[in-house]
Amino acid sequence: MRRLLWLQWATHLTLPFSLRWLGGALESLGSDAWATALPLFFGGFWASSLYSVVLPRLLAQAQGDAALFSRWYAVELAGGALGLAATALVGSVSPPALAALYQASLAAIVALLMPGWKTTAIVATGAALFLGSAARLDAGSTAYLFRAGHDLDVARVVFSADTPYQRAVIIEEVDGTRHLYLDGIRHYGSDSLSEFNYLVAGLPASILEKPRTVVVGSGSYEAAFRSLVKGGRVTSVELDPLVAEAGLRLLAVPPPHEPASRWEIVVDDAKHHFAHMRERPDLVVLDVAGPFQRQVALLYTAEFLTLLKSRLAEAGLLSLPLNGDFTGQSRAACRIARTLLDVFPDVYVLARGGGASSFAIAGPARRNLKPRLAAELLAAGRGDVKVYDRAEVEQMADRPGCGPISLDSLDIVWDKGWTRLLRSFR
Amino acid sequence: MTPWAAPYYFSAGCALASLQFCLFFLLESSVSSTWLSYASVTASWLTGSVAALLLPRPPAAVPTAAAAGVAYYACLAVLSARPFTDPALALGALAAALAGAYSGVFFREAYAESGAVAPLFAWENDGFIAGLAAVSAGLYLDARLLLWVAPAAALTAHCAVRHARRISNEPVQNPSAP
Repeated sequence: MRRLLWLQWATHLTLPFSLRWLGGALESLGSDAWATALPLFFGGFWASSLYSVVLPRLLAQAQGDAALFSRWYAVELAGGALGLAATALVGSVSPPALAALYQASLAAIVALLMPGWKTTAIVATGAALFLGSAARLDAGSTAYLFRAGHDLDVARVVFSADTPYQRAVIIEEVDGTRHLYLDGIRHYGSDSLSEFNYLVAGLPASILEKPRTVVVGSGSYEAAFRSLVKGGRVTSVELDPLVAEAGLRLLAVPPPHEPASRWEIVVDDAKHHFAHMRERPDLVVLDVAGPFQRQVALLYTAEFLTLLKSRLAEAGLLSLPLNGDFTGQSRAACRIARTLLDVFPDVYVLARGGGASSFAIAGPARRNLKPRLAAELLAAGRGDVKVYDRAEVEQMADRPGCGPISLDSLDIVWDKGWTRLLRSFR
Repeated sequence: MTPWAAPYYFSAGCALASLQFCLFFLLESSVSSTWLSYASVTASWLTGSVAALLLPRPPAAVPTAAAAGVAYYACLAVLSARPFTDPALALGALAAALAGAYSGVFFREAYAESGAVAPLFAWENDGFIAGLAAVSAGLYLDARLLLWVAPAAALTAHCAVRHARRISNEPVQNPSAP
């Protein structure tokens, strides 16, 4: 038991930085599969086994006294609640402070289980050393993970926080390019997003007059700024206040003063926001990641799109990325398009082909917008983007495995990750 | 350990995981994905557990489990009829508190009966993980169906195992005895 405790203490003293170094090293060696599996085993099985060993042993000391068992277990649960609250409060402000809090609790457990001045001195010294170097280790291990795992020429970690929703990191490369990663998935990169934001927000806004716009998601707010140019009011809806604030402070190019007075940021879940929205927007832009995480996938379901349709103005439009090449083999793009076809009478897909991600525009009223969209694209120097109307999209979406996304069928969440994991093990 | 102890602990873990995860998903899909939904369920669950462990006289087990199930299904019915009804979050928190209370009653009773901690926590924990894995997979296949079926099925199975265990633990009566 003593050996296990020391071994566990030594392991935990390296967390969470060692997991990043391990994952990064495995990825740089080309072991994608192990880079996923080993940190999962290390974090999920080995590291958590301390709790599985200590708690029953502690409660077994009740020696059949049911009242004592109940009291001790209740105290442990109350400690769990306190830890959760501290994680939410401290983690979003400073990840190193959260790590330090964790180390202090661990040191207290080890010192209580193995009483004696030697143990106390060792764990206290370990915790103090950790506390002194936590900020440097956090930045260093994060930079290493992104260098090794994402092939980025990292100059510095601009922002790093564990919010109640996700781990948010903003990386700056040597050439000044910034990237926002949420739970390890790139949500924004200043090198390629202008084209994305033109197609998802600029183009639909350009065919509307002073559109009242709601943009779901934040990033650099470029989608919101592109809508503002058309003169209407814009609301950005973001679930995570820390990501909203970090995007505004560290990613956004400041908008002109005049439009900023017509722009607001609302911190809310998009589903909840639209369900309670009284105004009927002319344009809704989904500037969010693909449907590969449970919460985000809910924003691509037929149920949510039906809610949006009921809230849009009569001649309103919904614009969203298809997260893949609709003209190619992308199942995600096809399934999102299929869902739009099931919900909206008017559907257009914008695609370049050749593996480039496609976009879709949908509306509750049937209008022939294809010539207008094609003309706008041509005028904007994007004549290579082809516009497909509803009939063409229906024909192209008529292929196996292209069912709609709904609460009855959310398997798209694991589809991509599982396929990638299996491929990496082969 | 008695023959029915392991299935009893395991099924308790399964039932609690199914109720907790379905409640999380119900609230995030039909009320809001904000942190408030998760915090209210987690805080209520822990409060219910701690209360049930500390009360001088714990509530009866089966009625507590049934009340948790009723509160969950009331929440589900309200949100199915009127999605995004904010007050339903309070109903969800009540369901979580009652489920947490059942968890506290279960551990209290199970320990009082056996006095063995390690198998109790190991089997309940394994049941919880199995329930979580099964419900996660099921939610991606057909969330709507699962939200209606899984908690009822898991709670019924657990109560059936509990009943079977009780019968098997009763001393056998000898009919020829005077």
